[in-house]
Amino acid sequence: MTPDTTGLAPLTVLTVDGAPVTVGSAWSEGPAVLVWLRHFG
Amino acid sequence: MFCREQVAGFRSRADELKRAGVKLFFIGNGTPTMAKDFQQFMQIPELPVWTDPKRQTYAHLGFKRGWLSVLDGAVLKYAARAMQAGFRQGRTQGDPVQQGGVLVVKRGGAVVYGYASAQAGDHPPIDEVVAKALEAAKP
Repeated sequence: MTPDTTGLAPLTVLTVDGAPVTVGSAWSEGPAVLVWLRHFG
Repeated sequence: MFCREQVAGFRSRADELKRAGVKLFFIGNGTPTMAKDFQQFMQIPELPVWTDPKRQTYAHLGFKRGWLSVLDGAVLKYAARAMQAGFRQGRTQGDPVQQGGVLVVKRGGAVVYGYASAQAGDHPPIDEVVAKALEAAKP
């Protein structure tokens, strides 16, 4: 899979403190590995 | 169990990625408190753990969701692998039938590697992901 990140980048997730952050901020300053987990278990 | 196994695998390569200038993020789908507890349990205070309770990013990326992805026969094989490595199932903290995946993204947003898990425990080889990430970090 090689999705286009244009639509992904502005989506908002939350930090452990509950602060919103855009997914695109992960790769704004350099390369990133993003691992989507099944759940926190 | 599978989440712990996967995070532990990436945790073991975190320094290598950091030295190359690659940032590593984990994204789950429980509450922020669940994310914080998981971060502490996995002993990764230096690594960002984000959460997407509405699973918008999962849906956007088309990651699998449903009981068939949990009850598939292959899951038993993956469970044996994880248990042999010493991992045990904890209490489910998030959507129990959601599957995940991995992206390697270059600065600016170009995806150089993508993997969507077909079943619970179906993870991409970490060596493959790290190799792509190190390549993405080259000028």
